[in-house]
Amino acid sequence: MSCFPALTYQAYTDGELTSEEQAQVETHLATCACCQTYVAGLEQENRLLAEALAEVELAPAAAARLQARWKLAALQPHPRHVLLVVTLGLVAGLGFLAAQSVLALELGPANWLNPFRLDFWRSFGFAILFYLQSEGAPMLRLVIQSVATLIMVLATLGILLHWLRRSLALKGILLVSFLLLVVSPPRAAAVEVRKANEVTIATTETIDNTLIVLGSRTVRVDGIITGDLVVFAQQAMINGNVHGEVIFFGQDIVIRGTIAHSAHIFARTTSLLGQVGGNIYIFGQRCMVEREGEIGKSLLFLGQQVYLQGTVKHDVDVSGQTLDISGNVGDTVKFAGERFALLAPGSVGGNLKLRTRHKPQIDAAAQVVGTVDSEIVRRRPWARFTRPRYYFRQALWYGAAVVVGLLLMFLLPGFYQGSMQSVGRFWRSLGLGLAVLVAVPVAVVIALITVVGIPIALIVLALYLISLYVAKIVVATFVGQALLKKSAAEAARSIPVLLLGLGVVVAATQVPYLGGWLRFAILLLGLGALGYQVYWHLRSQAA
Amino acid sequence: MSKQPQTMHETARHETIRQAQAGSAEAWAELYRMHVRRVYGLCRNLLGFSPAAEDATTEVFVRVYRALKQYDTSLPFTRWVLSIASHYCIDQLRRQRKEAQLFVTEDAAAVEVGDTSPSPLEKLLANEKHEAVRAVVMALPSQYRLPLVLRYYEGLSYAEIGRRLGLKRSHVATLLFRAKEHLRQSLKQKENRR
Repeated sequence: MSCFPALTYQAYTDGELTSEEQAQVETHLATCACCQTYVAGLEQENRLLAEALAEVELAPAAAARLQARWKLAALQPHPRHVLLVVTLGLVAGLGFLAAQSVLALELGPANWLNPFRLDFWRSFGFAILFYLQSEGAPMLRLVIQSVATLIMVLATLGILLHWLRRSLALKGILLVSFLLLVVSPPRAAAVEVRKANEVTIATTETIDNTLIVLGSRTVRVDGIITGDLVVFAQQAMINGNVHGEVIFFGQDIVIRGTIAHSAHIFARTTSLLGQVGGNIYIFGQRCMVEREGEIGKSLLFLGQQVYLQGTVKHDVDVSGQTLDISGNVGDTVKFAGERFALLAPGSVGGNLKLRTRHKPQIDAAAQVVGTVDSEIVRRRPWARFTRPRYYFRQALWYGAAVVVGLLLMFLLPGFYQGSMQSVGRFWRSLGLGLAVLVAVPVAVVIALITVVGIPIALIVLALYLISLYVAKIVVATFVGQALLKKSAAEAARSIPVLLLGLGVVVAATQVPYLGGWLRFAILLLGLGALGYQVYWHLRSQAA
Repeated sequence: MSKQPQTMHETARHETIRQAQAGSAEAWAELYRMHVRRVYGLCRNLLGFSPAAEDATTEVFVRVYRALKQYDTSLPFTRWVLSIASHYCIDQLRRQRKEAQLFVTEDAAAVEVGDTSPSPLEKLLANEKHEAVRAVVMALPSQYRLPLVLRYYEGLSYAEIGRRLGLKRSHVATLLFRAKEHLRQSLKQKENRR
């Protein structure tokens, strides 16, 4: 019998032959010394190869690194859970918006719902600040609405990213186009910039695009601007027509002409004798809407005094010291502050919701079509405990915090546990919290100014606002853990810890006089703990 | 006499697995400790690059951890873990070369395996340090390295390797044959250079 081919001997040594074939090979091997040597060699070769491959030199450092990385990786949420929550978020967001439009609830300006407009982001920022300043009452609806939209958009983005995770290029295109959509100005790509001590746009002059005026003493617009107008100046007078929006940073502004869309004003005094087609957002000391002044949509004001003699077609939302209305408001008026007066011949087309220090003055001759809902906030800190609405609000607050806490627990278990443990490093967290609280807004403003940094600034701002909320939840978990005497790992998975901790925190921060300080301390502690966790995660990711 | 400790060992391991499935962190740590070297070794042999192998090891344990509840004792645990690891690594390699095929389709019959049997290099292999042999294996093209590692590290049969790589059994045999030829050649060259 002749010798078998080499491939057969390989199969023989690898034990891959049928028993019949094997017997044949063995019969041959018994007679052929040459093949015997060959097969022995193969067997030896296989053994050596297996030995060489089996030798694993895992240095202690590498082993430790693996262990640490595995622990970190194990703490990441399961992708399926993330996808589930993201999908639920999307459905909830869509449902919310659908419900809003179906029920024809007060939607406010249409622009509001389009996160691809810069307008949305500005309004969103405004709403948040407004909300924080006036403790929520007047602007809560707006905030919820915009948060829902934001969640929806981010969720869509999240789902798309998840599906596209295999293609880096598509992912990049998606992210870039999203950011471009967010930051791109809605109209008039062409921009004209003017810098001079005095800038005047004469009556005969028409500027066919957006005009930006920087660092002037006075700006006077008598002519027509077809795009937007952005002004950084001491004083501005708008006597002509602006077809787009107006953004003003400065001391005083007087509007005698017309602004077709919205106006965003950061100024000491604002006087309106002309027309604003859209909303007018004002951060400032004083705002006067004269008899001939007219606002096509809503007036949103954050500052001290508002005198309204003219007309506002939709809502008036004011948080400040005083609001005097002797003009006409088409819809709801909401005011949080010290004094309110509705004087004849003033009228309010919708409801009147007031939270004031002093008794509001409402002339008998003045007209309120809807209901008047007035709450007097006295400096008697115990008074609120007698109102059922107070408990309802606290319960709502508690429920929302529990939901957010549970989301954290399931979605970011590692981060959640780490933050909770960081709270224990009391002084470090307190110090770091103060630094984060102050430094982040400054960094955001700087990034916003650079224009290129706008997307990053917006992301950081969003994270910052989320952190402000999450801070107390983290501290609450720490409190719960301490009270129930659980280990950190147990506490991070324990719902009772969260429930108890949040309950204690809610109760403690409601104590008169002391509560405010406690709230601040909790905010700092939580913010510090979160900040440290973010830092730690970034570092271990880089390592 | 040697049967008894084996069974006890098996029982103890099954108990550990059962505890890990029930959520015991200690049992899981034990399983991790027992398998980390084997998994790391497989990843290194398949991927051939140590940082990538570390990444893969981490990922494999995440997958094992998540799939732990689905594990049934019909398959030995180590083999199950290793199969997760090799699936993952092969998948990674496939992704890396999306454009180029991992395996050049080669007609098994066209491979000439004549009577001119190439001599096994058992002596050469014995002389070389294990590390040097591994270096040569790592340098092999992945279409040769993969079957070699699956056969001599994971200990899979030709048919299993074929299933794992999507190849015919005969193709696996030829690839292994070729792989060894390459190995012998490289080692001989290395020897001659000395």
